Amino acid sequence: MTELPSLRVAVDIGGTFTDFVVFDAKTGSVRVGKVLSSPDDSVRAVLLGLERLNVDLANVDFFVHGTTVGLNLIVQGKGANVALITTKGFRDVLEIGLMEKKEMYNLFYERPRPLVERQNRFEIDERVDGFGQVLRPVDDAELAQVAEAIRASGAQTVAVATLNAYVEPANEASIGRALANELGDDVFVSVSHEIANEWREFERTSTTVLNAYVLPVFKKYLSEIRTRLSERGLRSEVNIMKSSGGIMSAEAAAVRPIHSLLSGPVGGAVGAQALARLARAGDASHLANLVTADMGGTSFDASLVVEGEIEVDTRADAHGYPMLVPTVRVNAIGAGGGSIARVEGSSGLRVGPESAGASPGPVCYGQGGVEPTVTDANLVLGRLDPNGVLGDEIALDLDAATNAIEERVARPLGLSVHEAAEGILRVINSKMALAIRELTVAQGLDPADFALVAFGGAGPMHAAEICAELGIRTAVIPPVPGMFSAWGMLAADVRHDLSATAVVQAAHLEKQVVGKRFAELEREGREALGAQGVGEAAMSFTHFLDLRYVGQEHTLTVPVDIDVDPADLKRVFDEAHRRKYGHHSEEDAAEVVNFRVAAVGAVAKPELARVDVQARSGSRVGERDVFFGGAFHTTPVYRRADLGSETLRGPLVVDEDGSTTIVPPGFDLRVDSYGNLVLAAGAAQ
Amino acid sequence: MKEDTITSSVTQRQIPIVAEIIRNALVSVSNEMKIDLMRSSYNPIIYEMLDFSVGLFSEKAETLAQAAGLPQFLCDMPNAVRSILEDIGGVDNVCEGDIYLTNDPYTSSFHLNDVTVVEPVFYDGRVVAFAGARAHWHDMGGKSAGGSSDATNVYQEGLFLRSIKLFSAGERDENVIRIIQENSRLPNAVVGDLNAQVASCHTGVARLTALIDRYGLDVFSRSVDLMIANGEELARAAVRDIPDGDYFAEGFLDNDGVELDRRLNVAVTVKVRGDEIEFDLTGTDGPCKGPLNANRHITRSELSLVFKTLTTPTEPANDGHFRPLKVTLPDGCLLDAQRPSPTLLAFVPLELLIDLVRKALADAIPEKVTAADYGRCCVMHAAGRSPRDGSFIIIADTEGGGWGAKPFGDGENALLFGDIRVIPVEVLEHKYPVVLDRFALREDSGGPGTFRGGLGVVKDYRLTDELELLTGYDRHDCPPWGLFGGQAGAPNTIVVTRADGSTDEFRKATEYRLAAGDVVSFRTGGGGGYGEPMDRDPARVLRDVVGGYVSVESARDDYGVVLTDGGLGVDRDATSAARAERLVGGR
Repeated sequence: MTELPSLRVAVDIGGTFTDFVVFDAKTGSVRVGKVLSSPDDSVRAVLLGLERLNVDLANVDFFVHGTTVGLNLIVQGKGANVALITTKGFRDVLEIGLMEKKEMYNLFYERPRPLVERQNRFEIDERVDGFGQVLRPVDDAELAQVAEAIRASGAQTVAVATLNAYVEPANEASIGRALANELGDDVFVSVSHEIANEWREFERTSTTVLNAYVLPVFKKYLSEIRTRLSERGLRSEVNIMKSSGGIMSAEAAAVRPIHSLLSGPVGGAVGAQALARLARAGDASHLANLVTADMGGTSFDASLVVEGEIEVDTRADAHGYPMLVPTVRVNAIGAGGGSIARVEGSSGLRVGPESAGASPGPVCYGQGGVEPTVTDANLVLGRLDPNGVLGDEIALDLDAATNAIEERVARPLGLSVHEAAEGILRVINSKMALAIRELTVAQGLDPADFALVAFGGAGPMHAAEICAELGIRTAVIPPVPGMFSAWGMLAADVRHDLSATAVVQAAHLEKQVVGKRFAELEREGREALGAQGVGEAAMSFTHFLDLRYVGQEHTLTVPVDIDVDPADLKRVFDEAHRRKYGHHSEEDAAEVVNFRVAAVGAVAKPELARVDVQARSGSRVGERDVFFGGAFHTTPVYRRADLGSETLRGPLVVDEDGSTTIVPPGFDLRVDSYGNLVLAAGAAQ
Repeated sequence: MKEDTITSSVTQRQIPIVAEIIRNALVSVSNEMKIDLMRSSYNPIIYEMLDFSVGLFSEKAETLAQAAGLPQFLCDMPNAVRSILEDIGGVDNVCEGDIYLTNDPYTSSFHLNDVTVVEPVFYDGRVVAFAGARAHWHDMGGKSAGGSSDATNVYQEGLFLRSIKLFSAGERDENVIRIIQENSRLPNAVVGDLNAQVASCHTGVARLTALIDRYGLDVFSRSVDLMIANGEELARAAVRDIPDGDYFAEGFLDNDGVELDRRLNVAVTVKVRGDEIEFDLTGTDGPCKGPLNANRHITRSELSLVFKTLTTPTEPANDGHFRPLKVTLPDGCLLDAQRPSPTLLAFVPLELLIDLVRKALADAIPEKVTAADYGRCCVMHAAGRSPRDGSFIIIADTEGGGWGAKPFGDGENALLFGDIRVIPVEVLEHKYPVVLDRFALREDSGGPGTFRGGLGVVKDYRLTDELELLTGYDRHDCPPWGLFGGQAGAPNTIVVTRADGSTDEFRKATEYRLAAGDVVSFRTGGGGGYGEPMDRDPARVLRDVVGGYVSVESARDDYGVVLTDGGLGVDRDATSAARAERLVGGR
C-alpha cells in the first residue's frame, strides 16, 4: 500500500542543542526532540535526532532547517579566502567602512577586521558616475591580468563590488561574467548588484564579501546534508530558513548563503506570526498583536508581529559586519538565565550582560560557577524547583546558589538573600522590558497594545513580570516553548525579497514608471519562486517603497499597491511619518529611494490542533513555597498536560518538559482552545 | 498610570535595586530621544555624521543620562542648561511648556552652529529635570557659507541666539522661526532640524514623566542620587589607581587660520592626589585672532571625556563620574574664550588637549594610554550647486584618520571619534558636483613603533562644477607623536591640483575657489607609534609590507627589517645586523 508522505519536519540547529519538531499532517500529532549539537559535523546531530524520533524520511514531504553554520564562520573568522574586485582607487572601501567608533569612551576600541586581506583586494580602472553614466568601460586586457592575479592569490571565491553599480550595473556585470569564465566553476563569483542592489558602497561591498566569505563552506555543508538525508530516504527538498522569516531551497541557498546568516532567532517570530493568524481566523483575539520574548541562557531576543505581519528590516549586522539583507527585526540583549549579578562599588547592582553561559553556568549547576546568576535567583526564590534536576542527572544546588547571592549581592547591599534575589530578577526583567519597549516605540506603538509570547528555556518563567513592567495585559506560552523556534519554521513560506534603488521625487514619477519598476522586480521574484517549485497559484507579491522628504537621508519603508498613483505618495508618506515620529512636513516634497517587492510562495502549514481541555484532570501535582513581592507564598504546582478548562488564580507554577511557567499573584491562568497557556493580568491585586 | 505607582512598597533598603532599574531606563529614554532626532532630522551632519547629542539632566543641570552621539558634548549640555537658567533668572522663571534654545559659544559648545534645545520636565508643579537636544546646524548665516576659518570675531560667524524662548507654555514663537529662517542660507534645513530637536525633547519629557509616575518623585530622586553617588565612587576608585604626582605635557597648533606664522601653545599639568585629579592648563597661550578659541566650559567637557576614557569607560555617563575632576586655567586664555573671539574651530585645540592629557599620564599609567591620534580636526565644508537641480548645497564631511598605537597593539586605521560616520561616496556623487578619484588608506602614514600607529586616508574629489571650500585642518607642524620610542604619524594636509596641473598645499582655507576639473586631495594623518620600532616583530612588519600598509623602504629605514623575495620574506640575518647597527649608531 502506498501512502502519500505526510510528515513535516523542522530542525533548529543551535550552538548547544539541535531541536526537532515533527508534525504529522494525517493525524495532526506533533512530536518533539532535542539532542546535543555536534559542531564539528552538524549533520550528525540532525541524523541522530531524526533516528531517535523514529522519523521515516521517505514519509517526509516537507523538510526545513535553520543553522548557524554561516554565522559561526564569521564569528570564528573561518570563512573562505576571498578576492575582492573594486573600482580603481577604492580597494579600501571595506577597511575604511563608515569610520564610526562605536564605543564612545573606549580608547582601545577595535573595529571588526576586514574579511579580505588588503593584498587580495584588486582594482579595475573602470568608472560609472552617480547618475549611471559609464565614464570608463572595462578593459579586457586589465581583466585578464586581474584574473591571473586572483588565481595566484589562491582565492577560493570572488566578490565584485564597483562604485555606482546600483544605478548602472553594466561594468560590474561584465567583470563578473569575465571572471566567471576565466576562473571556472570552482571559484564562485558574487556580484554586488545581484546580491544587494542598493546604494552605499560600503554596505553593498560588505554584503557581497560576506556572501563570498561563507559561500564555499556553506555550499559544501548543503550538499552534505542533502546527500546524507537522501541516502536515508528523504525525497523532499531540503529547505533552509532565511533571516527574512521565509525559507529557500538548498539550491538557492548555495548561491545566496548570506540570506541565512541571522535566521537563528527568526523561527520564533514566524511561529508567533502563525499564532497571530489564528487570531485573524477569529477565535483568538488575544493573539492579534504580539511581541515575542525568547529568553535562553545568555541572550534575550524580542520581535514584533503587528496586525499579523512580522517586521522585516532591509539592513542588518552580522557580528559587526553590515549587510543589506532583509532580516526580521530582532532586538537582542545580553539577558538570560546565565546573566551574572554583581555589585560595583558599594551600591551599584548590575545584572548582565556578562553571562556564565553554558560553562561554567550558574552556581547551582555545580560546574564551577561562582558568580550568582538569574537562574540562581530563580532557584533561591522557589521559582525553579529546588528538588529539580538539570537534564537527566545534575541536581540543582540550592545552598551554593543561596551562599553566592548572600555573599556577592545581599551582604554588600545590606539586603536579605531573598530581597537580593528578587532584586536581581527585577533588574533583569526591567532590562528585557526596555528591549521590547525600544522595539515598539521606534514604530510609534504602545507595548500595552500587544500580547507577549514567551518561549525559550527561561521565557515562561519571566513572562508575567515582563508584562507587568510594560503594562501588557496578556502573556501567552505557546506549545513546546523550549522548541518553539523549530515549531515556527513549519509555518514559514518561501520568500524572496527584491529591491532596486532609484532616487526620484514622488511628484516627478509617472505612474507607468512605478508599475514598470515593480513589474521588473516581480518578474525576478516569480522566476526565483518558480525555480523552487512554487506554483503560480501559490505566489503572492507585496510592494513597498522606501520614502523620505527631499533633503533627508533615512527612509521609511511603506507598503503600497502596485498601481499606486505617485500623486498619493506624499500623503501616504506624511501619514507613515506621523505615525512613526509623531510629526510630518506639509511643505517638503516626498522622494522615492528604493523600490521593494517581497515575493512569497505559500507553503501548506500545519493546522494548530484544537485541544479538548474538558477531558483533562485539572488537578495539581503538588505545591511549593515561592517568593513573590517580599514574602513566600504556598504555591500550587501543575503539570501542563493536566490543566483543564477552569481559570486558575495565581500564584501557581506550571511545569512541563524543559520549561517552567510562573504565574505570580495578580495573574490568572487559562488554557485556550489551541493549548496555549494564557496569563492575564489584572485580577484583584 | 498613577495607580501603578509603587512608591509605597519601595523601602530605603530597596533603593539600590530601583536605582539600577532607573539607571537603565534613563539610558533607554535618551536612546529613544536619539532615534527620534536622528531619523527625522534634515541635514547630513546630523543624519549621516550624527553630530548631535541628546540627554537628560537634573533640575540642577547634572547629567542623568546621555545617548551615544558626539562624545565631545559629554558634559557640555549641562553648561547650556545652566547658562539659560542664569540668563532667565533661575529655575523659578521656567513655566511648563516653555522651550529654550541657545547657541552661545561662550557658555557652552564649540560654535554658533551648535544649537541646544532645552525643555523642562515638570512634576507636581515644579521643574524636576530637563531634556536637551543639541545638533549642528549647517548654516547660521555669517560671512561664509557653513562657517569661515578666517573669521576674526563672532559677528562674522553668524546668528547668535542666546537663551531664546522658543515656546511659551506650549506656544511656538513664530518670530523666532522667522529670524532663524531669514538668517540662514539653508532655511528649510535648519528649521527642520529645530523641529526634530523639539520632537526629541518632547519624547524625553514624556518618557521621564512616565518613569517618575511609576516610582514616585521621592523614590526617583533618591534613586538618582544613589546612581550619581555610585558613579562618583567608581570614578574615585579609578583615580586612586593612578600614582600621585604632577604630570606635564605640551604641544602646539599650526596656526589660527588668520595669523599663519604664529603657533599656539597648549599645555597641561595633571595633578593627581589620592582620589582627586586636577587639570591645570597653565602655560597655554592667550587668545588667538582666528576661530580657534574655546570657552572654559567646553574645555572642561573635553577634559571630562578623556578623564572618562581613563577611569570609567564602560559605564553610561552620569554626573558622578566627573566629580573627582577639577580644572584650572589662566583667565582669558585660548581655552577661556571671551566675546567677541571667533570660535568656529574650537574643537581643534581641544582635541590636542585630549591627546596631551594622555601624553602627560603616559609615565604614570603606561598600560592605559595610547599615542596621539591624527587630530580629529579634519573638517571640510564646500558650498556650490546641486548637479540635480542647481540648488544651493553644502557638502559637510569630516574625515577620519589614524589613531594612536595601543600599549598592546596597532592603532586603528581610518577612524572617526564617536558614533559618527563618513558620507558614502555614492551619496556624495549623487548629491554634489563631484566624482571621487580615490578613497584609500594612506600608506606609510602610521607612526612606526613596536606597535604601529593607525593609517590615515587619502580622499580625492574631482570637481564637475565650481565649489567654495572651507577647511580647518591642523596637527601638521606638531604631528601625532609616539610614546616610549614610537615615532610620529604623518601629518594632515590638503593638496589641490588644478586642471592646468599646478598644485597648492594647505591646511586651513576659507572661500577657497575650486573650478570644474580641479582635484582636491584630503590626506589625513596617521596615529603615533608605541614603543621602539626596532622592537617590532619582523613578521608584523612583513605583513604590513605585503598588505601595502608600510613600504619596503619604511620597513628598512624605520624598522630595520630587510626583506627578501621581492618583499615576501624577511632576511633574518640582515635584519638582526641592521637592527644591531641602529642600536649602536642611533642611541
